[in-house]
Amino acid sequence: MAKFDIKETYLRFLRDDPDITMPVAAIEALVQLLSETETSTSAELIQTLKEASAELKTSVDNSMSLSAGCDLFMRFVLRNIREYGDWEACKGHLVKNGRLFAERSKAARKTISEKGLAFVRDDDVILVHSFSRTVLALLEHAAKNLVRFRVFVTEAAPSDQGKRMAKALRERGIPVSLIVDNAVGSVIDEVSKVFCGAEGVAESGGVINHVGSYQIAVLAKNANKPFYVVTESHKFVRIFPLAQADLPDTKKMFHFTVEEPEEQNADKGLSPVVDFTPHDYITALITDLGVLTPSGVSEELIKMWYE
Amino acid sequence: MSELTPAQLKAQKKAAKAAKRAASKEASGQAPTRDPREAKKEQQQAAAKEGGSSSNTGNNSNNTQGGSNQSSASASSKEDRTRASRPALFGHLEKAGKVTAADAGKDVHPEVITLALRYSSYQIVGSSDRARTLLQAFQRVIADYETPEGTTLSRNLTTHLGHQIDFVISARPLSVSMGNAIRWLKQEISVVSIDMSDQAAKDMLVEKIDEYIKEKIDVSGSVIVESAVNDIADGDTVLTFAHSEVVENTFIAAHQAGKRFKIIVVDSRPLHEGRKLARDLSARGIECIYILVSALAHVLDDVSRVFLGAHAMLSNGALLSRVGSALIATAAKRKNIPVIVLCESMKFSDRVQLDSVTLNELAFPEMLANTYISDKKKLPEDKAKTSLKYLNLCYDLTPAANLTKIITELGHLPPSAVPVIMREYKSAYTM
Amino acid sequence: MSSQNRGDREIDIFVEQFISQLKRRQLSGSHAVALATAQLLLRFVSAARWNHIDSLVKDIRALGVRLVQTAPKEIACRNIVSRVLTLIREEQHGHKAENGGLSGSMLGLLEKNDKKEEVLDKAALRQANRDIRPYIIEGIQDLIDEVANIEENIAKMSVDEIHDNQIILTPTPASETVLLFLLKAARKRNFTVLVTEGFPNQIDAAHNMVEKLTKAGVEAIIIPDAAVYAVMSKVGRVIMGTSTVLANGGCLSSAGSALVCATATQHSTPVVVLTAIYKLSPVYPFDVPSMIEIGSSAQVADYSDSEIVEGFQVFNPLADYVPPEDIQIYNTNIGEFSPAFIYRIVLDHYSDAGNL
Repeated sequence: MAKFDIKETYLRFLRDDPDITMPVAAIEALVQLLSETETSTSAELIQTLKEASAELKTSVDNSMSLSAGCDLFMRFVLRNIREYGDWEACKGHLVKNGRLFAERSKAARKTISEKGLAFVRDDDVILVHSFSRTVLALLEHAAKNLVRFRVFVTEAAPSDQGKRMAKALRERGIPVSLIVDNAVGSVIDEVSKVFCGAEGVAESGGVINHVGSYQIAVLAKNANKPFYVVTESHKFVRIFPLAQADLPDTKKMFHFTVEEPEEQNADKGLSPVVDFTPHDYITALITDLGVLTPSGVSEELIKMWYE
Repeated sequence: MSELTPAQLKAQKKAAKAAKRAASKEASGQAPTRDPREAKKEQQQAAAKEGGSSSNTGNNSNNTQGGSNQSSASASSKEDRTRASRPALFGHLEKAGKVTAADAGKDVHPEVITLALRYSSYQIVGSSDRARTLLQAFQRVIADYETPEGTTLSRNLTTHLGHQIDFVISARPLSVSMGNAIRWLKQEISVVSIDMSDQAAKDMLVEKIDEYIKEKIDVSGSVIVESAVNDIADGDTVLTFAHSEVVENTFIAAHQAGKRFKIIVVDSRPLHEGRKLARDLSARGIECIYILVSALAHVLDDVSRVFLGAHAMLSNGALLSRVGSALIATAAKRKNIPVIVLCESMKFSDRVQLDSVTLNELAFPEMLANTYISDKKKLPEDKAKTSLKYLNLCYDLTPAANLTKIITELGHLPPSAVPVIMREYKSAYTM
Repeated sequence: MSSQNRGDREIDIFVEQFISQLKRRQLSGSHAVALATAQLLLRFVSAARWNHIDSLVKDIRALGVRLVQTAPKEIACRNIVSRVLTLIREEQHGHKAENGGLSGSMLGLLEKNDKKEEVLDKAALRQANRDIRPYIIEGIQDLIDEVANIEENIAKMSVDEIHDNQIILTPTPASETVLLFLLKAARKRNFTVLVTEGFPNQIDAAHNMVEKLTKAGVEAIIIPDAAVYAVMSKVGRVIMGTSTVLANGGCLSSAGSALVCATATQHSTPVVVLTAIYKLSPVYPFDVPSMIEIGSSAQVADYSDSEIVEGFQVFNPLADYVPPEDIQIYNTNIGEFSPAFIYRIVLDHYSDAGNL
């Protein structure tokens, strides 16, 4: 039997379904692993899953989100084995309903849009950073409900995901002004609120998101504007960063040299992809579980992992 | 110890009781009871004042307030209890006094007496107005002044003015603007040449006062207005508090220049000065919203600018202004709304103050007890009789951090530049 | 059949009476409303005829919707109905099956759909209904007791909270809770209270409070709303009441409170909010202006003055929203909580079943 390539499976899931999120793809990949692997004891099963998760986390760049998925799945497996005992039946159910999680997570996005609708009001000027499917779904839902608002979208260098977001919003009939990341300070006083997605939500209630989110959060706090994070609950991750330097991405930039790079944009390769926004800058998290304050997130994560 | 007759014993007890009552009153900061004769004189004064000043000010609410103040003061002086008392907590603060014409010394000019009583009853309020009227009264004093035998004008006039000033202070503590004006005037008097004749000196002084009023108050005000108008843009919603002359003129000028804007007037008890402003502005066709301080949180979201008047700017960049200004400035700064103070340089003070209670003025507590929104609705009689404590502060202090800029006739300054201006332009503003 | 009709008619009369009292504001103030609502529901549950507990829940929910429509700003009413619905659901399913609702759902992403469904046959159902009624009634009675004794429980904490020679400021003179709190502390402590006038809506209450405090030997001083910043440097504590505590830890109080708390925050003066659990609401403040009731402008500027009436707009809000950043602690009848923890207390007392 050919060795199961967890990384390839994960990437395949991501490729095949543009709407899937990274944690869910990770879960799907792990379920696939389960269905193709024979294990005799539950201990062996846990070991297999642990190894696969570790491999996935180290082999994929920017593994923050998929870590959330792996951890969630591990937690679920452990709990089922310990509490319910009928692991075999559960496993069978998981394998049979492979696509179930992807569907459920998309449903989560719909729930978020409904719970978040009340946050979007007529005449709002909303600031959005980079591209986020949940934020897009929320704003689309608001527009469908005939709320009149306008959106500032940041370009989100170096990935330029913001341009993708601007296009998507405009296609849905929402007026957009695309601004460079450095112009947020100039417009923040006229903004009503900021919506931001998340790659992962940390145990403190802080979020990891596309680089630039932290800066915008600081400006928003200074200008007394609410900063909302719009995200699915399955992105809650078991990490507690204390400073930006704790993120591996940040360390890349500490590379000083007097040599000019040969290629034009080689410098850009040293840019981080994500940064961390601490919980004190976040007004609330709009999730499929409801509107949570950052302390609400910590409580839930603690309860889930430490009971 | 000699035996006392029952009658004497009774008299002694009565005296002891009266002394005790007076002592306890002193302790709680109430004015001592007065002679019924003096009370009658007070009433006469009040009547004369009401008749005379209703044509002048045209501010009806202030008028009746002043009238009722005086009559209530006289009424309460007849009773042993006053209706409202000042708390001992802020007992170290300057207090407005309850003066009458009878309290004035013999050489206090009648104009000064009338003026002082109008200050004391809050008929004339506002830093600029008080300084202007005081100087105008001094012109009369100087015109009527005769140097007595054995002394010169330059020495004696100052003393004579000193007596006038003392009476004014006893009616109501001086404002910073008045203090600056008096200091300037004393300086001018002291350099009068010994060779000048009295009449020439008096004429010169009167003229100089005219110039001072014109330059330091009127023209300065105009320069500020001209400049401040540029800070109001089309579509702005501007918030202001109580009533400042120079702020009102700015709004009028901006309106005349064709700008489209909205004003939110915030008002407070007991003086309700904002009502006058709102009336004046809307009479000129400017769109106004009128609210009380407690409603402030609701309107701030739409405000683009806050304009405040000043009683004084202190040397540490802090603003001393009508009580409530600090509240407005803090709330606005929290929302990153610029707070602009319009202040003539003659209101700048050398003083430094860190909070509102180190130095302040306590006004009559009855002003809070006796009136509601219209003077028709008063406290029910039984409530009025219990001695409840009221704190009627006149001013508060806004720290420099809560102000964005000060507009003076010398230019636009950040609050930190106030002492710099005072040093560099001392000659310019003290003339 | 006929007895059922009579029973229904009687309870209908009570309901209509209650609604008309609410409408005419003969019944107002969160304490009175909460108590009256709980008592109404007690009658309702005792008197109403229902075969299946779900139909009782449906009826109560319908009643709740009506009450909310009658007095949308009286949150206490809505909260009590939600509490009762939650209570019924708890009795029905034993202790809460899910562990607090949230983490259950996260793992629920992976669990089987049909795992949680309970199928009860009709007989078991009838049995369950018969058994439950007395427990529900007991539960509501407990709720009534809780509401009636709230202020006593809160006041107990006052002696610890207030120090000798302290100066306390209160911007909510109409709060009975605060008054009781201070009076209780006055028995053992010597302190001064500054009371804001709350002009125009609270001024009678302010005088009332100061009178009562003075009678109890406390030095109580009335200050105009504008003077709050000026005195704040001398104030040791701000103690205030509230009409509603919101799910994010903010609260609604009388007009002017927001400014007082903002000033207190700037001076690092702690703000203590006294409240009862029935004032906690699962509502998140999306749209603050919609929660604030506007009162009569005549209180602010006399209508008889035509210049004012024609000249400018006058505006008199009755309440203020105080954000959680400005509040240090909530003292409730079941303990003291920081604003960040309020969402948890809300979850403890209100489940989704309580949604109207």
